[in-house]
Amino acid sequence: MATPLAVDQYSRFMAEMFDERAIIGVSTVGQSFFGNPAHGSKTIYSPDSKVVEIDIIRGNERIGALIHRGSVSKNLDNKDTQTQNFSTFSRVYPLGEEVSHINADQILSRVAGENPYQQMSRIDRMRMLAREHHMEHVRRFVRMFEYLSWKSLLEGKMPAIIGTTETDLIYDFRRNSGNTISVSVPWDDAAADILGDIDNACDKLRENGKVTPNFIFLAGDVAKVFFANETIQKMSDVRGFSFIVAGPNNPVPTNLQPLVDGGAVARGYIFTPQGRQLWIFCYNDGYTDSTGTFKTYIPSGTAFLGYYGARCDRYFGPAEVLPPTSQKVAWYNEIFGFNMLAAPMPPNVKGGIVNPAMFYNDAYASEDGKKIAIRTQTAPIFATTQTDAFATLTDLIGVNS
Amino acid sequence: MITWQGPGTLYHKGRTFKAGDTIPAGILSADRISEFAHKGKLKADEVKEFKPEVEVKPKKKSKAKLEEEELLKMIEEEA
Repeated sequence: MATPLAVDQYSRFMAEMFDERAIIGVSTVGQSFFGNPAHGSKTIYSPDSKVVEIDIIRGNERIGALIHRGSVSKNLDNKDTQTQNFSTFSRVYPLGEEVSHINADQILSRVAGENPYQQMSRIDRMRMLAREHHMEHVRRFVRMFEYLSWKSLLEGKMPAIIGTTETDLIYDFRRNSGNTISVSVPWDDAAADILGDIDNACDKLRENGKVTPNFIFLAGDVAKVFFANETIQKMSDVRGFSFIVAGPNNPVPTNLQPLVDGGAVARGYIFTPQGRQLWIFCYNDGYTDSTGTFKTYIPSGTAFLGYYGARCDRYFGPAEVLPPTSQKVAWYNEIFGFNMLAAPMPPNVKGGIVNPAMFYNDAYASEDGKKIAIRTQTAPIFATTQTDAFATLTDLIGVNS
Repeated sequence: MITWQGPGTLYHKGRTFKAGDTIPAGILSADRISEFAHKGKLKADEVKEFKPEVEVKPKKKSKAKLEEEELLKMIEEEA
């Protein structure tokens, strides 16, 4: 048992607590692709169903047929026009859960930020701790949302369990394999044809996704070699042509503003030799994985481009707890000081696109009344519904170059 | 013979190689072949040994873990 500390005789002033958890920005760049009403994307809450289903009709760009007059109608190219040829995707929701405990003994000690002479009551301390636990759960889940969003964006697949290779536990949004491109010559090699590689990816997006891309994200190491490339620098310097404009004097168009609000940095824009205009973004934010290693959401050696306007839906499934009774809601409110059905959100989550309806909060006390657990659950699926509207360029940095 | 396995495709100056396509000689450097072979993205008859210049060092153990291991070693020696 710890020996209580003697209070010295100096007079003192207790400064306001510094809680770094509340300062570190929680980015939402990847999440901003999903559920944006301006893109026709949906945010769907289904608290009572275990499975979500969606029907998808793939489009094409065929042209109408001309036939000889007087001929009988026939099956053209052995393909009738089918307007209802669709696929149904059915998926069981994943489950995210964070639990933390408050002990009866713990609330007899001073909590961080409590003035030693403040004489806080046990319930006040419990409320303070519960609020901190809840906020931390939400911040972790928002980072998890961001991780899942980027998995879905970069690979067209989202894991139901982080790190799994089990195909049954991966939501596959069936992206065309042509949209994931390795380049033969890495971009840090002087012989690289960076603009040619980008134009090829744009061709694939036009062909497979029927879209014209309007942005490109460069991983930190890729951005470094991109702006250092001799051809890129030459193209940036052609007066009157403005092939590449890099610099801070480029306020992004309003339709791309959510990317900046979420934490991305706009570096300028590029006109490719074939005539596409792409806004260049960098995004170096990341998360700490289960082994304690910091990882960026966009992996090293990767560029990601596509059409910011493609439909990407987000689904939030049910909790895995019994439905709360009105007594439980009142009890939760009394002991923690906030409503479990509309809990407060951490102010450091960027972008304003995360809301309390995405989380389920509850608590349960131990039988001996010495401990209480605070639990938060969430069941998100970030679906790149119009999945071929995105392409990923990989292996852009050579291991030995 | 070099065969592209994926995932995804390989792009080289206007040519796209899908999974199962044979990549002609001269497209990929020896380093690039060994890099892709190491990642399982292609199969090649002859692959240069994969040696990244930056060696990935094993993660440094924490002081507590080292002390714990030392203690266990001492207990084992005593027993």
